[in-house]
Amino acid sequence: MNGRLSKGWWMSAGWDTAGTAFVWGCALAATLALAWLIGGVLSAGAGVISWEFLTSEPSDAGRAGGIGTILVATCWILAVASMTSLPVGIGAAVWLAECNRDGQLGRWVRGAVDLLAGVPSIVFGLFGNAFFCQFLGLGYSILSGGLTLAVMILPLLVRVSEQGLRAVPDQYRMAAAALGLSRTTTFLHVVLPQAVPALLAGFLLATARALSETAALIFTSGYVARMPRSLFDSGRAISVHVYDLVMHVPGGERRAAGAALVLVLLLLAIHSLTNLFARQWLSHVT
Amino acid sequence: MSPDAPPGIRVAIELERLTVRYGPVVAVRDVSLAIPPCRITAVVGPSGSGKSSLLAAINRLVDLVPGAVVSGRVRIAGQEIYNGLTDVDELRRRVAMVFQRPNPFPMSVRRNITLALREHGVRRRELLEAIVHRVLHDVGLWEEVGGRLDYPAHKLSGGQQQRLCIARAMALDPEVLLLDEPCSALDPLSTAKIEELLRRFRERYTVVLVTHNLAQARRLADYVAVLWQIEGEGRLLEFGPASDVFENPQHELTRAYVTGLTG
Repeated sequence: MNGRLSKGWWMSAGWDTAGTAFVWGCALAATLALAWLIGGVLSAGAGVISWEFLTSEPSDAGRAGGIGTILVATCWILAVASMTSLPVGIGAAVWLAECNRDGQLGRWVRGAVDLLAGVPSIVFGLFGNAFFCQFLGLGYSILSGGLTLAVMILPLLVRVSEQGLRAVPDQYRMAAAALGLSRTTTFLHVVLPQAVPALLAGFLLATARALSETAALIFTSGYVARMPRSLFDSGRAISVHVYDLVMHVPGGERRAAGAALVLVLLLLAIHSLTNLFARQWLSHVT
Repeated sequence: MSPDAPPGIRVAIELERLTVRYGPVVAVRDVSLAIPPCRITAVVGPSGSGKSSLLAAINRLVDLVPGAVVSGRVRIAGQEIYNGLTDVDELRRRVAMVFQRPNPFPMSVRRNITLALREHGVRRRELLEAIVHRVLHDVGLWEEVGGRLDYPAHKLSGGQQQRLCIARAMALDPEVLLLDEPCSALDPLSTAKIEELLRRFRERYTVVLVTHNLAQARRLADYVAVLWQIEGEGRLLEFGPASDVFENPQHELTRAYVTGLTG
């Protein structure tokens, strides 16, 4: 080698080993964070959970009783949020993916949607309070909370659905056009069936996002822990319940941990479902 | 479904000074061609000579390309297709197209064929079944997949998929069959089957076959159009009966191309 090509200090085996060890450590740390979180919630909350806890009404400001009414209110809020954001979100995604893919207008809409995604949830809460509760006169209600969440999860829904629709290869659209199929038929019978798993995954992600939301709901759906009788009643979502017990109710910590555990389990369930659909979708596309 | 061509017209497709632009890029300039009916016309030439753009102008598929502008005239059975009166979906039913890569829809073999039929108004079950049977027979797939009509089309081999795409197009009873390098993604055996099909279809359809495979053009074509990229634009060098173009080319570039000296 005549000494001209000598190994640099960074090329020694020791550095390779150290680098590998470092990235292993980072991956481990990321995993441990989740394990620590779940372990903590589990150890604090597992003792509280029972059928009784899941079905009964909270009493003594939440220090006793369960989360039955909280779960009902949470379901109502999620139902309002998803039923209103789903059609709008998927409709907008179809427009972006099929009608204005590369146009200037599409870029603007995409920019607006991305900006909306960056708005902090507390701002959604204040906006929801001003617009739904006061301006539209819906007051602190499940409807106000659900609609606020709908606006908040809209960007996620739009962008994931758009990606799903765009991933359907163009050769199918070309083949359909060459057979004289209308755009509607092409979309409904050729494009949409292939995008369904992606749309479902987007929907579930958005639901998980809504389920874990607190700040947007405090000022919109409110704190009332009674069983809601209609959409115009106030209802306390599960994340709001956890927040309230921890912050405002001395002695509520054990029940808060129980509710938090239920919340985490629900999120895990939703994410597993999402993964299932995403995998199915990938196997479909490739 | 299609009206008979008026007597005396021996031109199925007439291009008159056809120019196709994509923004500032001119893919095809000033091509005039009279494609005869019920014959195989091969469009040959090196990559970038505008073969596919020319083909996509005949069924207006080029409309789907953002920024594409077509000028000049295209007449099919005497009727101009680039005007506001043309029903584009009906035009594409009459002028079928098969692509380079087999692109059956991700659904069953049967539904691949019936989807477009239903769209064009065929609803009766027995009629749909009869057409499926007929076109699969025509492309030689009936023996291979006749018992598996509910089988996903994607599970077929590449050559079978391409024949399914041809069957799917034929089900609509077109007058013209446009093929854009239909064999370039296939193995030699599948290619031979498709060539055999095209030879049999010669009497029934006006076939326009884009190919960069000169040997294939020699084997199949009755007429040959040679496109060439000149100063960045696709131009027609030569058009005529296959024997003339191959044995006695008029243009120096054509001579070099067909004898394998260039291209």
